[in-house]
Amino acid sequence: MPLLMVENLKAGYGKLQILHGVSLNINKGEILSVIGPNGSGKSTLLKSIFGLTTIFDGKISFKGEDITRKKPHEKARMGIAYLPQTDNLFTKLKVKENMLLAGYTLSESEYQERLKEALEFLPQVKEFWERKVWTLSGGERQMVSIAMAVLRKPELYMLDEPTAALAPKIARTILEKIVQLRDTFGAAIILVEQNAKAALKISDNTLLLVAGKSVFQGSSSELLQNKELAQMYLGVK
Amino acid sequence: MFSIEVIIDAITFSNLIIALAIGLTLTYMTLKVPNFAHGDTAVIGIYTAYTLTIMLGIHPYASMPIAFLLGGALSIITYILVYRVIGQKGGSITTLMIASIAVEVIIRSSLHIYADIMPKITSTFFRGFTFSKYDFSIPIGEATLPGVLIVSTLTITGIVVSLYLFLTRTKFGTAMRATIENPSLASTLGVDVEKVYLVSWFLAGGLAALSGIFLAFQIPSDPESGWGLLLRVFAASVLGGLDNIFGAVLGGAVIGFSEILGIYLLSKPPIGLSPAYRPAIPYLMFILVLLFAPKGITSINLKKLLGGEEKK
Amino acid sequence: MIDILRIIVDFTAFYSIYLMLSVSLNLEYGYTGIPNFGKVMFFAGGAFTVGAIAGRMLAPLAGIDLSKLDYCMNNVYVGSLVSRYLAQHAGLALAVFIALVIAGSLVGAFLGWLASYPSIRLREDYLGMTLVVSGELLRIVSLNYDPLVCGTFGAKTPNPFSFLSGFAMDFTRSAFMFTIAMLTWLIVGRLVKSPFGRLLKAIREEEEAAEALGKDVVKVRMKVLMLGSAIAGAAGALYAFYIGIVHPSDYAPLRTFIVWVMVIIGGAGNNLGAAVGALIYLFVDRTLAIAKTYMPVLPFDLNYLTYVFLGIILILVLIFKPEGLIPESLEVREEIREEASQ
Repeated sequence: MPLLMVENLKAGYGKLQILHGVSLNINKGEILSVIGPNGSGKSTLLKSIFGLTTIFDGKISFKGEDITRKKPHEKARMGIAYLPQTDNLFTKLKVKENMLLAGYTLSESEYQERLKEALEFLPQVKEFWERKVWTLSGGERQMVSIAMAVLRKPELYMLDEPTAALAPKIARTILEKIVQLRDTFGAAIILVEQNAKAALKISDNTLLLVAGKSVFQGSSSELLQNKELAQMYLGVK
Repeated sequence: MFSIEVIIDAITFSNLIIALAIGLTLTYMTLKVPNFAHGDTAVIGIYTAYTLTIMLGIHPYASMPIAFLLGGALSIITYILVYRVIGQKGGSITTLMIASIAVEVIIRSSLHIYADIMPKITSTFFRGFTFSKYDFSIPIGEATLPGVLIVSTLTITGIVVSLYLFLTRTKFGTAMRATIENPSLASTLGVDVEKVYLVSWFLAGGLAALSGIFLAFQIPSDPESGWGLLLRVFAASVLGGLDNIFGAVLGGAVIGFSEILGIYLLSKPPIGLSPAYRPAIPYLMFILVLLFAPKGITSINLKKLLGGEEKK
Repeated sequence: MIDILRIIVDFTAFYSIYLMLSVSLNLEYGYTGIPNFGKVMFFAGGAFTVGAIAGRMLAPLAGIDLSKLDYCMNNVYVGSLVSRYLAQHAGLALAVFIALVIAGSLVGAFLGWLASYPSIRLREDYLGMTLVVSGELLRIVSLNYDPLVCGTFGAKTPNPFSFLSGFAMDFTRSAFMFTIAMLTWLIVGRLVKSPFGRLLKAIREEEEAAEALGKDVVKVRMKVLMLGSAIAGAAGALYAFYIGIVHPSDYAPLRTFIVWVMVIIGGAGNNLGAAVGALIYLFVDRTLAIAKTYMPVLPFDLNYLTYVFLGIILILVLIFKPEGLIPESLEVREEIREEASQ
């Protein structure tokens, strides 16, 4: 049984429908890249899975349980972490306060234990521990938001363009960390990326969205072999 | 240049404005709506203390905890019955402001009815009274320090310090600051956003009613007192930036001092302005702040001191 | 019989004033989204214009030397002499009446421009607060600065219809007022149906989108606030003439609240709604005023209870029927949204 299963999802905002039938599967220890042209509904897909949009039809199940109509905080508690592209940190608060909030529902001893784990995974975060988030660079912020997610030990990470607007070198570091998330914790990761090539390199599977529909899901190498799709959406010649 | 009495007046008045500006800022940060009924909540505190003094002989200072609870409860009730309902139905900020003005009119008019009826029951005035005869005083050298100066300064200092510790040192306080900045993110992390709002509104209302009592030690009070206070508190909060409690403290102090010291200077020769223009000082300052520092004083300092720009 | 006629005539005069206020706020808030919480300031601006000018200007004509007597201490006496003089000069009286109503609206427009200056670019909450504060500032100045409307004394306004008397005078005066109010209502009604009106709604719905269309949103909002304030100023001038005295404490923020009650209950963004809202409010208000004389003595002032009820009704409308009794046409709303979002 896949960890997360989305079947024929139709969703949008208010009356405006953006997803017109998206299906996907992801297992534990897998990275799934979601790629597609601008406006194809990649971010909306993540938001819909997390319960932040209006769902018209379709089914979402997590660990075999139907979670289609569950509220975001319930999904968070079940082990799904959603990292939006922006607004994923409290900018006026210190880094340590952000971490404290990531562990808001944990007991003090549990929090200390998890914090140790998270800081072992991302030791960089200690360097700006006492700083307010708004003084951090984009890359540093991304580190903090991943550390916050790690602290909550989710089984499924949903990352919305974690490397957007980052310098290439920093973007590579972030992508490496994402691979480590899978390898260290055996977590499943859904990754929405603008940079399709970089995403394909690190992912096990790829979902191609076009105009709110899933046109392809399979291993990344399969997609690259599919000449027509690769040419149209990846610019591969 | 200023006599000791004027300074005492300025400190005492500033204490009141600071306490009210903290509360107004607190509720503004939750819903992004200026609470027009905030001044009237202070007057609720005054009438609570006055009624308890007249009917049960309780000293006004001893009524402070009761006023705090009553003001807090009233504030929570208006939040639950009015603002939360309209907010959940997707009401705009303007809609919430109209509702807030309606709440203000209801509370003020109810206080008027109360002030009309009570004299018939107690045979005492319920308008234009002061608490000054209940106050104590401490002679120091040539000057006499009125009790309200000491009590209000201690109270407001205590409140500011404990609020600071609460917001920065406790988990719930941190969650409050987080919720104010980004409620949806806070809720995905498991913070009970609704509880944060309720606590904010309770503290704001309680603080207003409690500190309102200090006003009645200084000047005669009636149901209209709240409206004049409100506009000064708008000035103080806007000066403070409306986005942090400590800006409100600063704004309250600046407005309170400017009003008292300003009218003292302006009413003396050669200008000789009528003291009745006193409220015009904070109102003019409000307009000047909007013209020259619409984000408040703290925003100017922050940018200059840290050389960075706050991102939203 | 004449009693009922008198009530109707009196009602018409008040209705004319409130209709103008309600129409102007609806133009500002209902159509353009400007939360004018300082309506009373512009109303006062018009009234103060009449209060400050009329008596002083006409006194010499009535044979009074103002350098020899304190105008404010004697303004009731001066006012009645002026009215007596105007009774002999009907043409001049009407010219003064019209000129001062126009002057009142110009002062209103000027105050609108002044008030919009620091705040029109700001968010609606700051704008709302600024307008309230500015209104109170004007009230404090007018209460203490005697050369304006004699501060706490108040200034008597001459009666430009004193060439008539009794019912004929009341009727003519109300007819004049109602004509002015109806003309305002019709003109605003045409304006909001014009392309300019659609632009206003586009600004209300999608400020950024309207800006992207190349429209200077700030300028349009300023224009609307000036126009709305001009109407409110004219209403203030009419009110000053009708009541016969201008007293600063009469221009308290509660008046603003009442105009909001009319617009919200009637239906914001609908010109007919503004007219109906004013009618409903005034009907309730006048009925209570008449009923009060027949009621047993209450232990408190009934007006306060009225305000409590108005506040509760306003909140209930905002919760359960925020579009008001006569809602804005939804189709137009959708169209505007679509246009704006393109």
